[in-house]
Amino acid sequence: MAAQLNEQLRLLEQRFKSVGLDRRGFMKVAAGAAAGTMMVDGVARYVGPAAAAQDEAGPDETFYNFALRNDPVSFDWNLNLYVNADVETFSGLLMFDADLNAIPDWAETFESNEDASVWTFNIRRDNQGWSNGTEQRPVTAGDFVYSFRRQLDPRNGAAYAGFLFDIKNAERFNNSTPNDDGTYTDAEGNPVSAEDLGIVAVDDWTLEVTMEGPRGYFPQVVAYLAAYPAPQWAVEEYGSDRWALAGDVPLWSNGPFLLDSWEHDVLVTLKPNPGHWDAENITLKRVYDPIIPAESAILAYEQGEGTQQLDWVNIDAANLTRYQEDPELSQQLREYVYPGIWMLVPSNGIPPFDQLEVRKAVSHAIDRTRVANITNGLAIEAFCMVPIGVFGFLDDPELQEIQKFDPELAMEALVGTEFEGGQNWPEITMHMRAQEEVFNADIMANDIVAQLQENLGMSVQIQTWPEASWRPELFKNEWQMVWIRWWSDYPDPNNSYGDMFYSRKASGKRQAWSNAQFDDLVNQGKSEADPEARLEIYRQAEQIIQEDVGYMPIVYRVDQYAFKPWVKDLPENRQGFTVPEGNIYVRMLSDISVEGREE
Amino acid sequence: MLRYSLSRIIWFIPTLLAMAAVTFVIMKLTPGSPFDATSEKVSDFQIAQLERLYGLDKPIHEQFVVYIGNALRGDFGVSYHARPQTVNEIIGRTFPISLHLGLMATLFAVVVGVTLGTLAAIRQNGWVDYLSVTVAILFYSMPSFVMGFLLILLFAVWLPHNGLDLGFRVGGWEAPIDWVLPTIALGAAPLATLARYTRSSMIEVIRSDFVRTARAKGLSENRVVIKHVMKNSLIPVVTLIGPIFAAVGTGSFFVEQVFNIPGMGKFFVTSMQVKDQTMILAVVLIYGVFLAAMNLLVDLVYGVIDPRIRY
Amino acid sequence: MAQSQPQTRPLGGIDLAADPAVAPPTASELAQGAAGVQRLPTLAGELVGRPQRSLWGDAWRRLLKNKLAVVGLTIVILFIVLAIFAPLIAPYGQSEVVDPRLARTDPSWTWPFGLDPNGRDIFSRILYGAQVSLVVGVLSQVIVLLIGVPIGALAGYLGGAVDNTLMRAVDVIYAIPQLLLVLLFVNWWGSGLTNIFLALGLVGWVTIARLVRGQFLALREQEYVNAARVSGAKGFSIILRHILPNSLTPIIVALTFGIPTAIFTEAALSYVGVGIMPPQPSWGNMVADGSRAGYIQSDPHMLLFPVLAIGLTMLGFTFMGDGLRDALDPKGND
Repeated sequence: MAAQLNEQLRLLEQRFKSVGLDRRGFMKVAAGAAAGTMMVDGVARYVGPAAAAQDEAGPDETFYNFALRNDPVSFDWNLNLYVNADVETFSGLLMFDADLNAIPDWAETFESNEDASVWTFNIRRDNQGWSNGTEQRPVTAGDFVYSFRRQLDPRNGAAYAGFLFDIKNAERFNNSTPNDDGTYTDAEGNPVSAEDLGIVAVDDWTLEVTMEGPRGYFPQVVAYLAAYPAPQWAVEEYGSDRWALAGDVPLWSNGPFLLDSWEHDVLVTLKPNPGHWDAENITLKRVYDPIIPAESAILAYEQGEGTQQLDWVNIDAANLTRYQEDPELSQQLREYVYPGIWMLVPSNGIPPFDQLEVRKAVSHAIDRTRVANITNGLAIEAFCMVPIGVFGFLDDPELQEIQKFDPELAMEALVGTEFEGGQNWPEITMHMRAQEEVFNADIMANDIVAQLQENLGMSVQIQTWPEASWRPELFKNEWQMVWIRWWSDYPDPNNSYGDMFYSRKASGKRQAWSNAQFDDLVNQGKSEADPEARLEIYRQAEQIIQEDVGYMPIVYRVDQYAFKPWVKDLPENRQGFTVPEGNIYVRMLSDISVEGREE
Repeated sequence: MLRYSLSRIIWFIPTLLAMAAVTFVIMKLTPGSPFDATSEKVSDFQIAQLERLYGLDKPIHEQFVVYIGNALRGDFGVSYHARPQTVNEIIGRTFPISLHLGLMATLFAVVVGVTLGTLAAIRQNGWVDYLSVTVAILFYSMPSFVMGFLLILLFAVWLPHNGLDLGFRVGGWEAPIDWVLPTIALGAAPLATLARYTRSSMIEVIRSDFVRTARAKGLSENRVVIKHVMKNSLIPVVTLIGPIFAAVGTGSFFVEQVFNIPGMGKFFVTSMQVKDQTMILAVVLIYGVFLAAMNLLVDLVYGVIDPRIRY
Repeated sequence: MAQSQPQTRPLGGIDLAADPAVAPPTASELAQGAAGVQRLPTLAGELVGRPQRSLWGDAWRRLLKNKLAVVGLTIVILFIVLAIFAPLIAPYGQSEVVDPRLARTDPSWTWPFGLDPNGRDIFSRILYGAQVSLVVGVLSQVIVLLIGVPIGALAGYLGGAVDNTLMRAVDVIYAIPQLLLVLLFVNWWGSGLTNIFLALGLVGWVTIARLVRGQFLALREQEYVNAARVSGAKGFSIILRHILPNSLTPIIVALTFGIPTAIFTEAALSYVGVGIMPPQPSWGNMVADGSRAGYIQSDPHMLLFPVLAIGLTMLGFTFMGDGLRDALDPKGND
């Protein structure tokens, strides 16, 4: 009888699906139907683990995390780096510590051959790292072979596969054309397949990755979110599109925390993963991720109740003064120089910036300190591309001279041009992304524009672009000037100089500026293994681009946070900054503890 | 009446198709791919891959036919921005919330708005009139997001700080108390519309010949107002409720944003910003169907209250 | 009635320019109101029975008798004057930074409306913002007028298949959420003053087209129009000399209300980041700046003054529009 009803429910579900009712809606109908026939036993299976009794977590084992500004789209980092879900549900081979060094995660140790062209990762043996809340499975080398292949397979449309292009044949495979018979043809017409990739599981616990050449920074790439794995059995059972949407299927994950429930647009709840290698050091028993837009977050931090409260939050420029002046709130403030830079990129192909003198004048006409101050402490002046705290940051007075703020130098640079004396400027527009007020992008842009008016008599308008138009318009390289940010993906100068300014790429050039010597240096830096030598290479590159004013570093992003006083063991980096969970460092929940929460 | 309804419904099908076609064409004319909003760090090749995956590399008329075919079967496709989630999933969980809020806001607006308008008309140029005109103008001179912020600050921040905690919270959509402030913020503008509209329509009727006649016949003022004025002046007011409900019931970007309500209003703006074509089309079609249904309903109601109208 | 009724309001509807929720009441409310009133058989005859020559003089006198209308008119004129003479009145340039260190200073005698996060004088920016707002408001309505009136007139006067086709097209545009359409255009062309009023105009004309059509439909069968036709007047001259003047009242009133609606929509666009190009100020982007959650608490003056400016302008246009309607409608003359 129960089996019969189940069959009926399944058929009914298909019917509902065909008219567009989703599983959840169907469940409501089904539950009603089942209750009516008293066949509850047959339905219980459908309700799934979400309805299982929640284990009690004390106030000091609970954390209200400010992780989600929007509803997550899924938990499939393997296909989409920006799924916007809680990053601590998954773990890769390596991870970053608070100083942004790559350290062991599921790989207990890792080493390379002499020229750093082959990397070996030794995975923690006999673990039970994967879990769906009820069952467990080990994390093995095969998981990463499968996952990297899945991400690089052109059939899967993984938008950020480019992060893995250092792996042998990765770019060739990803840029190949899938054929109807399941094979692939690369750009030159030769067959290529996932087998050609330089990824091999030597045994269950040993992963060997062969590079396109020497890649000393590969651990940084592997520690990045883009290298999170996906569980093959779940992908195959539930489908590539559905396995990571939770809801009606359990989410298999291998991070320090497991997804417990996901109420769309409202709340994500996590519980610890008992099979995670670091489980014994994790004190939190329950983590709430209320989904709260940035604008309302501060109110939720101060006034929130129930699950709509926060234990930490970003403080914006408007509230910072209030926090600094309040004796109690000021104790809760924490600062972090974020690995991200704001810069002004003039186009050397479009008048008036085709003239080096004009670019130089602009570079001398902007007082970086003033721009930083206008944000009220949410930025700090920048003089090179790599942010403070990241390998490759150059604290070099010589470099700071090149584009130093000096209105007189700025006007002098114009002598002999048609703009001498700050006259005859054509119409000039500076372009930027819309809706980046959270980062004070608009306030800084307005100040730069004001400074150019004051110091050069140059009148500049600001054109903002919505997300959808920004990328295609930017890549046309037809803008006179761009106010643009670069958040580091992985903390290495290659991510800054290579991924942003390298000009010998087929697409995705943000700026018209190019320089052969600069490009050569970037290539050299990529394959140089010695850190000291690399640093010198990037110093030269920085000098070239600054002297030719290919870009103007303006400020680094600074984040100000407030943490409730009961949050302890906050991760700090060597500069003494508190490092919260973010895009790079993703282990805050595992590191912190809660003590003496006020209810 | 049935025949009339049927013909209206049948007429609406080509209108809907045309709406979809217009939106589709304009969307395709605007430069860029829906996957451009993914991130600037994605290469053109990756975007081409995604377009192929979702059939966006096909000619536009083919895409349109496929889309309409699926839509007729109730499948509105994958939301390009929230992929792999489908539009049905997303709308399915957000629309009921917007509808709920919209219903409350409409009720609030109708009850308070019509009352205010009526009082104002009866006491034309008296203090009630001035008060209601002032309230109405204040309400619709203030954008809903400003109104929302001010309500939050007043009821959830300032009053509790000063010892009067009415239990309002800064946002969320969990307990019935969370419904109050958004309802006011969302209902304020329609309230103003209805109040002003009721007032002017009522004054119109009060001045008309048949009311003068009724008065002249010596009917009591209350009787005149209730029997003649109310009935005749509310007819045009009723026509407004339909479109108001259609507008408010499909959600408001601003109110939902300010109060952190998981409704579908946000897609009226965000789907545009990220060029999430499937979501844009779904929002347009839902709004269109909703509006048409409301107007049909209003017309039918209209026929009931105004015996001069026959279909 | 059986045929014309559904055609008069096929989708009904209010204008949804700014936000589905803001549901700007005015333009469409009047559109509906005027059409609705005209439909009542008891009133139609009275309207056309009046001689039209003294209409404007009478209206002007009636307008001046209406205290609220005078207040409205005064506010509107004041804003127009302030906008035109902004460069003379404003103590600072429109995007001039007084001092970056004084950012977000509270209102004082020196800076009556305070300073913004960039240290710019809010008073000056409100004055310059008036220029933008009024340009957006007026020019968008000019476009609305240029597209909406001919289409509505054509449909209403010719009737039949032309009417049907045009009105079906109008229905389609009408049923698409307006904010979405405006965003579509702005995404396509980019933001900026010209693109914004163009988009507003291109999206907003349907209301007035409907209104005009309704008027023409009602008026073309009137006796005096028939009389003109019989006496040999051509179609175009009938439209221009007989029907249009009698449709002016609702058109003027609708435009009066369309202006603040457009100002509002510009504010909404600025709020979502695709409004007027900074550093040029508009009340819309000033409201957007001030309405960030943090500033509402810490620096309410940033929000207060632009909101007051918009509110006052709305108030002015509303009073004026109400007064105009009363004054132009002879029935109100008791």
